[in-house]
Amino acid sequence: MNRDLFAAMQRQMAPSPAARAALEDALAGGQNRQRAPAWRYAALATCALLLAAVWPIQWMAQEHRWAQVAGSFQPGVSIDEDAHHSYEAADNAAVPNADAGGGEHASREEDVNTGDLPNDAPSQEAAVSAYQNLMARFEVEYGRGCYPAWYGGAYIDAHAGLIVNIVEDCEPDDKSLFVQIWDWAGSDQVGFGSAKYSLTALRDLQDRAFDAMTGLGLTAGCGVNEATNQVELELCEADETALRLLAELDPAGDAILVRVGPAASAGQLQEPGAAIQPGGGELPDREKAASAR
Amino acid sequence: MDDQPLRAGGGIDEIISRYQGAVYGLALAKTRSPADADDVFQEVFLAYFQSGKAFRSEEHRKAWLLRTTLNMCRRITTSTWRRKTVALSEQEDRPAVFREPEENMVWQALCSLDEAYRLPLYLFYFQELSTQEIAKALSIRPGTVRMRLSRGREQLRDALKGGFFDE
Repeated sequence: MNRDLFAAMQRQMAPSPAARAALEDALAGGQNRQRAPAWRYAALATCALLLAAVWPIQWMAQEHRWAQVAGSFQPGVSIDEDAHHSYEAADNAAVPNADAGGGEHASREEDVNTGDLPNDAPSQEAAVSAYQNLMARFEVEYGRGCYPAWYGGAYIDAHAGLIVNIVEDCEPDDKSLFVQIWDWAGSDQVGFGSAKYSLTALRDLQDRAFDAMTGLGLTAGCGVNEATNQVELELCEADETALRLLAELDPAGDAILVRVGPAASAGQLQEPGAAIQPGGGELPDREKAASAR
Repeated sequence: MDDQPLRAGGGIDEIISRYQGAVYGLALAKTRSPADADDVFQEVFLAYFQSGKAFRSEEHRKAWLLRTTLNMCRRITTSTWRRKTVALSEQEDRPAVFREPEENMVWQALCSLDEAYRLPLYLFYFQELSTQEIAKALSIRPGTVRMRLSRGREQLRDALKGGFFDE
């Protein structure tokens, strides 16, 4: 975007001389403004009390629902504006254009023999390349298989764009991290999303969840879904012991998504199973869990 | 920049001079009416002067002013009196407020967007706030800010036919 133009426009945004003069008169005259009537404050206080009264009931009901072993299917997390996996493609005029992004698109339009049809999905080649560059840099900076604390995973969205999730607690106040990521990925077409958990934390949780369920003889599959910022755990069956153990590993109830169904030979479910998300209810009975193993 | 007292009221002229552009600009972006933006500008600084509020820092003061601006905009645009008496033609007119034709073109394109996208775009590009600051001003999550910036940019690009942007 044209920074100079916006700056010039902002400089022109000023109140009219009449408005400024009226304000100065009001300030000079010490004009007494009419205070809001008392009933308005009473109404606000009543609303606040009602909200405070309703809020704990809502929280307890949600906790109770999360703690149940549902017999019916509970769909996985849906994507909405306020979810932690929201999408962003921030722009920064200071970042130099990368050949990988712009050049790739330009050459695709001019090449008449790509075999691409007009309705084909966009090529993910540029996004994959950016991802590989980023992973290579991570290995150099942090070691093989290690990731920075701010990294919440990455995925390619429906528009064939690479989205890098930034852990919410690690979001900087300025654009420096974004610029660094664009530089490491070799592309300024990388978009950003928010994530609650770092990839390192999810991988660690994955290992612990897998080990716990393997000990119960229940595991069918386990992986990290970087798009939803969750560990996805597939179990051949779910019993109270398993769900209590998982609730202990995931007190907030949003880091592990459990799918229950018959285990397939390829390690995948033959049919969609019920998705159960253990919640942050009471801690499991450790003696029962130990005896169940 | 000279330090101003962090308590509202002191050095009011300097405070108005420093923040009038930000307050008026945000009011203009929200109401899309210079007349309403003038009213909001007066209401905000009157409220500031009479609040006697003590601020932790200049950032705190600015955040207070921006939040108050948005609140005043809501009050002015939703008042029953205004709804009954403002002519529809006045609401639809977006008079030119800038010197250059391309500036007015950009502003009209921005005003054509939904408020959910218009305000984050304005605060990000015109006032150069960070996504965290925008999130606090608009009371939404930083992730939501980033998504709205992304979608708003696409819509703005479509409205300007893409020929304007530096890519």
